[in-house]
Amino acid sequence: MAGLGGGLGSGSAALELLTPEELFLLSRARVSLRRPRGTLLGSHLSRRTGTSLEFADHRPYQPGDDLRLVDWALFARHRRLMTKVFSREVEAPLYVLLDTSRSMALGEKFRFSVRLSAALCFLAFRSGDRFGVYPFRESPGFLGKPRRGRSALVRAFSALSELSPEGKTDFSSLALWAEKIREPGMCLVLSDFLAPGFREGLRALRFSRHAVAAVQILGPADLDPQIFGEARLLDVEEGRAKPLVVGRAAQEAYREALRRWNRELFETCLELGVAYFLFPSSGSPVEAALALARRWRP
Amino acid sequence: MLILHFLRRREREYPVSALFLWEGIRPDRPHFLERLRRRFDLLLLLQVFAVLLFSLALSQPFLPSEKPSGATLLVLDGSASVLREGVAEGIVSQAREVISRSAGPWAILLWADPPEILCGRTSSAAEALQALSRFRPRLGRRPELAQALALFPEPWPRIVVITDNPAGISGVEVVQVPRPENLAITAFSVRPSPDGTRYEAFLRILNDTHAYKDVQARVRTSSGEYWASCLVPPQEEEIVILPISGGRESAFVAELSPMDSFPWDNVRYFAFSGGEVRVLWQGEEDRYLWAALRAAAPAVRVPSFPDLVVAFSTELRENPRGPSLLVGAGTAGFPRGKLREAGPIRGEAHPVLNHLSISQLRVGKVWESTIPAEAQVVLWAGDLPLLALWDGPYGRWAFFTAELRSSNLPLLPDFPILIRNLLGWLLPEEPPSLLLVGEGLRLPAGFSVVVEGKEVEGLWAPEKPGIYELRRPQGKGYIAVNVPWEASFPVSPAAEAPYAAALARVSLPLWPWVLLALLPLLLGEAVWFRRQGG
Repeated sequence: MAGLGGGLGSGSAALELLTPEELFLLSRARVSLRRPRGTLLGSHLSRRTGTSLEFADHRPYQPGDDLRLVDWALFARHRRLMTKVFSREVEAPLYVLLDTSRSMALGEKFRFSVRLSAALCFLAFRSGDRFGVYPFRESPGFLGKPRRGRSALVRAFSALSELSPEGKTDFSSLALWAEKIREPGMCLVLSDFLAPGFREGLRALRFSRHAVAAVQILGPADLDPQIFGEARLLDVEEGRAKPLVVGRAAQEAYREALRRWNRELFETCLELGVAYFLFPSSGSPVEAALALARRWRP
Repeated sequence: MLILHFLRRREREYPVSALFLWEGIRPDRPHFLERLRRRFDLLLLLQVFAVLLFSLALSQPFLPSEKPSGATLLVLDGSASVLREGVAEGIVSQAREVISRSAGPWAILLWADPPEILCGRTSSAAEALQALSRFRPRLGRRPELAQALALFPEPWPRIVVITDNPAGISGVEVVQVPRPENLAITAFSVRPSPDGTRYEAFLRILNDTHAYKDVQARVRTSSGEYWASCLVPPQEEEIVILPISGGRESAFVAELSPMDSFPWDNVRYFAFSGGEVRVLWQGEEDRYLWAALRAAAPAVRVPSFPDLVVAFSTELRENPRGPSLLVGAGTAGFPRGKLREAGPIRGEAHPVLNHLSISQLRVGKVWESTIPAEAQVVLWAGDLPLLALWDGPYGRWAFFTAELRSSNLPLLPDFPILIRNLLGWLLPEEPPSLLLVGEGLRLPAGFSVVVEGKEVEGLWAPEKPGIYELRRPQGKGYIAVNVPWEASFPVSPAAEAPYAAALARVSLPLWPWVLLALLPLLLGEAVWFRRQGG
């Protein structure tokens, strides 16, 4: 474990984001994808044929085929020349799109999402894939290509440590990002999704042939707000305020509105073929990363 | 402060992630109590409480209380019975309590013989409490309460008597201190046997405990010791008659064992008078009366020129000249009348009845004697005089009208004592042979008493019990001095209902305590303020 942390630079942002115990847990996890979208060679078996050691199928021999790939045992049995076909191992680039709007600052959501991003980057690093963290709010914050390797991980962790929640959420910036980053990969959108326009953003990602997962992170103040009495509700992103006397009925009405909003988000994801996950910010981000690795197999 | 608080707290601001989720929600009206609970602020509560306390302190509140009013005269019983173990401490403790619970001023009087002022009128409780350290009970009896109170002639709004024996006290507040259990000799006398060959010692032993007691009585004389044992039931008395053989004796000491918390009444003394009394006996013979006379004084019978005329159950033709003891007898001038049934016996306060237990006395019949109008009746049997004393033209006469054979008196230890007392009154020139501690005695010229090796003449008041040597022209005699017999008697309950002291309203200032309570409150407020982040 010390080697893991030390390898990332002792005293660096890595140890601030993830503890050695959490890094050890993540290092034991294995990410397997059903259909990796990468084009470059990597460690994930793809459905396309290639030159890996994993046998995939036979096909009739065609002139020009490498004679070393002819299955001579099959020829001896059936007197037919068949060529062995192998799977192709490709990489799966990971794009972590992180909502850094001000609403994420409420209820530890931002801290959770930053740590979750770090954990996901570490998983990608362990799989030998390229990865990148792309913060977004009104506009995408970083449009560089994903990188692989230790130095990329260190850079990603440093970038994550320096992030702070500011501004407003604008999911249309996801479309801008998708126009710039055209190489298909696994897109994880980490946000509270408590802003309109997420349909357009997710659709833009899907149209860019990315495998997309919407990871909704909600804090206790979002799920069960402890507001009672004569309150002045202040929208942290827009700055608007609304006076309201909140009682049990108003609280129940809010919870119903949130349920409706999340149902709409879920149905949109279903419609677009986007995976949907909901994590409370009071939980463990490492557990959330492991759950994503286990349950999301694009 | 509350208005400011509620103005400030009218709308609390809550940041939310998505205000649009709250759009369209109708304002609610939460339950009043829930809203109040939500608004509860400990700091506000502490502030309000602190302001309230401060306002309270500024108004200088006081606690109305009731304490006994006026000046208090404490009368502490200093008689012999108080010398029982723990009683004196109890009296001092009760006195302290009375002082602490009353407003003052105070004065403290020792109710003993003679009475003593322990502390004059003072408004200083400390001085009064200091005076209690001078409380020393004495071995004598206590005088009449009025006699003691005469030391403070001014009127006292409140008089508190603290005693172990509230009998006979009325019109004042009484605080009774409990007594420990006690074994005592409540009567002791010796008389020669009627045949004159020996003596008989009479002891009355009181078991003032709650258990049967196996006691040993011992009578010492100059020639030997005589023992007797008996089992005394609880709260009862037993009479022990102890035969004493040997030659002529003048002084006797009775001792009771086991000893207890009040040893002074476990030892009693008795002495015969030293001088010879010449008796002219008239009427019928009665060996009991003669034995009692001989017990009281060395009596001898003479046919003429007597010191004392004793008439028993007869009618004398002439009035006797000189001191006379008429027992069931009459004279020409004062006939004895008819025999009548005796009523309940009651006594007056008179030295002749000293050392006697009147309640033990039973008389069946009484002669309806004619008593001189100037005679002083000291004992009554119903409405008839039982014992009357007359200092008339013929000398001192004592009328004892009881039919002695119908009375238990001859069998009581009190009989020789009564006869001795009567002889003391009839023949005043002869010093009595029985005294109590503190009882004053004026010795005739030529008489002296040896006290601790020194001769005392004139007025003598014994301070300790014991046998004292009496020196007189006729020769040596003895005086027996005892602690008062009533010091051993069980406590009789107070006859009257408890006397309640008048109470007055006093005001105890509360504001220092309020200010004192304010300090920890402010401290707690500061701590809570810092905990909330300033």
